Amino acid sequence: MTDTIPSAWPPVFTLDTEAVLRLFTGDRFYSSSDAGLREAILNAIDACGRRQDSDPNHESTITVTFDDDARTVTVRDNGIGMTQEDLTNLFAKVGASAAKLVEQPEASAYKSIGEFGIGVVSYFLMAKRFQLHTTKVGVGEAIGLEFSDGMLDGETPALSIEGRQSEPGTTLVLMVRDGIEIDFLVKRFAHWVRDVEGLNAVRMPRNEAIQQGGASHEVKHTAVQLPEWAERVTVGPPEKFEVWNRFDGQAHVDILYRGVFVDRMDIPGLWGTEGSIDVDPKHEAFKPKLNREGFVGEQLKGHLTRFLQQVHPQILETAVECLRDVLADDRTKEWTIQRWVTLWLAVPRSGDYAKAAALWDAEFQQRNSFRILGLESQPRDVSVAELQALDVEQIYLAPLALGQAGAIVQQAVRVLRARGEPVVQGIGRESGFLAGVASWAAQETSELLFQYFRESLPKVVKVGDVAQAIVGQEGIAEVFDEPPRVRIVRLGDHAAPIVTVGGEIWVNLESENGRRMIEEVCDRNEGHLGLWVACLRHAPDEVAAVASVLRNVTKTAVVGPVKRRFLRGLSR
Amino acid sequence: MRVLLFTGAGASVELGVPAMRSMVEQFGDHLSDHGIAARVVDKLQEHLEASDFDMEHLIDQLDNIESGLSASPEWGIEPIKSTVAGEIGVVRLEAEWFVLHVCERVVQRMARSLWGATLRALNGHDATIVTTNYDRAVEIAASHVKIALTDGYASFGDKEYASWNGFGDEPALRLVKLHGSTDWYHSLNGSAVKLRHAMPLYGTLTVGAGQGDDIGLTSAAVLPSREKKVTQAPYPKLSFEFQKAAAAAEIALFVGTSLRDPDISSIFRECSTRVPTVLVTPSGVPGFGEGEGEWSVVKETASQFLVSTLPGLMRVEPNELSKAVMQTAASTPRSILEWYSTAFDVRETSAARCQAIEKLADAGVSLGAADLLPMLKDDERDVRLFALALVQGSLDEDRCVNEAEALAAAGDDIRFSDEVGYLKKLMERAPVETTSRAQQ
Repeated sequence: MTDTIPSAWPPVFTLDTEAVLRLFTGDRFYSSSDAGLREAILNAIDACGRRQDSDPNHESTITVTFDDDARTVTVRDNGIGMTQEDLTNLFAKVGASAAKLVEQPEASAYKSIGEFGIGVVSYFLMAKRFQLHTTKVGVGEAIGLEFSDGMLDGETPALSIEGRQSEPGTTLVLMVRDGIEIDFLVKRFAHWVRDVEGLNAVRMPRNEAIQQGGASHEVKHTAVQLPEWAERVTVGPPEKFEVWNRFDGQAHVDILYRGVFVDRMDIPGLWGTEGSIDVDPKHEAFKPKLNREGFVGEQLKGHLTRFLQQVHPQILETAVECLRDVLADDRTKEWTIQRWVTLWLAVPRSGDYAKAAALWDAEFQQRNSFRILGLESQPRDVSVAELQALDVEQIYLAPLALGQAGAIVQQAVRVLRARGEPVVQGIGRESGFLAGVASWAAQETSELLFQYFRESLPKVVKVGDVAQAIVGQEGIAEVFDEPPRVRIVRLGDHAAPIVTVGGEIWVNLESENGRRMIEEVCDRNEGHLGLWVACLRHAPDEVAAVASVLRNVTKTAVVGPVKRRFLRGLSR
Repeated sequence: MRVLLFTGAGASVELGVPAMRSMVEQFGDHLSDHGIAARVVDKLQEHLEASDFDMEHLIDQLDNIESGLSASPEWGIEPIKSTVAGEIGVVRLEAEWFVLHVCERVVQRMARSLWGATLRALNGHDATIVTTNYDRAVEIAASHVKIALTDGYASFGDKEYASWNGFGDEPALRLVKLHGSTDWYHSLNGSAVKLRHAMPLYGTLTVGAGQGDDIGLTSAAVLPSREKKVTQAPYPKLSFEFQKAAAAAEIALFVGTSLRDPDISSIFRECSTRVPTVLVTPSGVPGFGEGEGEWSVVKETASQFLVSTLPGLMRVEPNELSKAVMQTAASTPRSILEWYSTAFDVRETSAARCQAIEKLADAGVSLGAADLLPMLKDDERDVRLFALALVQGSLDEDRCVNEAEALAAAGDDIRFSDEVGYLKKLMERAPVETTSRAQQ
């Protein structure tokens, strides 16, 4: 790219071959004809922005007209307009940046939205021909040019026509290609044009107003501090049930430039966040760059992520109330307690999230987010408030996946339930919902109970921490008087016949092989050696563990005949 | 309660006194070992191999031959000049000696183990022990447990011998030895004499101080033969005493006898028509056919019955005896004598005693407080511990438990206290036990 100003008029495309090839070779961004529409509107916004730069009171107006009869799309703006020179420079090289080639007397900080040289060429995706009528502010000369796709040979100049732009601004009339439906363009209009100030669209001949697309999802507005690189921010929890119902746990934010959709960013972990952000094209922090994905560069992504992380706590604060409103009574039925719980568990708790966590905790105070075993004959779901109201000294927390918790923990739960002690299990997350939320999120509500509600509850004890002691207390008999301790306990008929627990050996009376071991130990009456032999015969899988406990035994612990008779009686 | 307890050879087998068949085999070995009557020994071997020849048969036949040989000159038959004939007399005397010698080998420890509990149990009852055994097991045991027993002889005083006195009419513990004893003799004038120190005799022994008052003694034992001589004193009186005791008995117990002897079986049947009658036999099968009367069969060895079951029956009211016998749990017949003897023998090692105690417990032996309380206070720590195994199901269970608890509380033996704790748990768990705790 050079800085020379060609003098040819009408202008001729000087093609940047590579750029053109990119344009026409199936690139997904530009492979669709509506890309031209978007470019035209962006150019109009750009032109209005330049005019406002020199005239801050100027009210921009952009009109987009879809004409079914004429098969044209007209984009009219009252922006700064262009001179012949501007036009020559702009079209001199496809791919040139208008900001670089056009001198701005005020050294304006305005930067065009993108490197739009190639954007003009993109009109040919939509139109075989287009006319450009423009009058620059303060110049007064109305210029008219007609472009056809024959110009893409790089030799054919544009056709000079009578300029019809009487006021400052630019009118672009695109003659839509055969086979391209106006309907398609109208639909895509709403996709690209979300919230452009001063833009109206209409469809002729019916004079039907076309609405801008607005936000991808409506959100409950959350007051946040505008970052310096953004012109507008509308973020918050979504107000639609459908969005919550299939939530993937990511933040979904539309990136707009002056109301035109650029791209959407999905950021994992920042669940509850929807909305749009209009990036300030003037900001120095990053340079918007036209690329296949749109205008979003890595720098912008980084800024955006940091910003959303900053405001996420506020969004979660709003989300509680929003969600409650979203889920009107008849909708709530579609939500299981697990889904609610999944959200609650995903609320971070530290630092800036403290207020959000407190609000969610208050919401769940009354929701049945736990299951209580033992206190009554049948398990039932309970809330934190109910647990707080329990007239007990201690609450035991059992793991959710009790079946995988190990024989001793399972037995401890059985013992506690038999004693009528309150054993509480949490409710786990719903799999698939909020998938992708950070790994720090708790897996079940009992973790929250233990960490955050302990102060307001009777003493909370994890069963896993006391399981050995509980089962040990229920121990039926001790076999030997000398160490290591060998106890007879009940661990359930599916548990191992013998387990080692903290330097002790526990023989399971409820296992058939456990009972056989007890008989053999009594018959042999050879102390720990007899136990060892019995283990070899009836519990070979546990031999290694038992050996490690017995390795220092030197003395034979003989058991008296009455005790042996008692122990045999247990095993029969 | 008036009790008749009859014991036969089966009661002494556990003491090491062989039964008749075994005895004749041992006798043959004895003759061979000492080179006595080789030709008779050969003949004996032939008989043993050919039939169920036993000691009774032998003595019978020896008596017949001797009678024949001695009578033959009277009939004009020339004395048989035969080496074998000469040996017969020797063998006959040797046999007599041998039987008594074997019976006298009864070990004191075993005798008191077998009979101690029964004697204590019978003490205070009007009980008659009738036996056809020669050994002095009952007398030895009575002396050891210090229970007065009358066998019809006067007490020795400071003499070596005692004369026959007869049985009085007062209720007492009587021992009626129907076939005599190893320490019974006849003097030359036929009077019945008992010596303080028994000597199995070979023929006649003359003892004296050499001043004209010599005493000649022959064994008074009625040797095993098909026909026993019971006409000489004191046997008629003994036989009468047996009949009297049987007629008066409120319970009749027959231990270690096959009842082949018609006199014995007759009395058995007669008792069975009137009073609870029990036959104790390890096989569980009486050795006689059907007949009138009802009796119970207890399938136990003599030691099991005398040590454990009989003492339990003696605590039951007479009208409950039949039921008690019926409730006697079926047990595996086995001799418990060695275990019992070992358990109480302080000369044995602690380990041996404990092992024996546990075997007694496993066999379901029920002992009384007289046995258990001293054991609970034994000098050996482990013996005290193992003694607890005999408490549950013992004849004086409550008393023994209380004693055990008191000892546990007073002592510092944690194992003992622990074991008492388990004992109580077992007793809380156990249903009402029968008189025998024998395991299957």
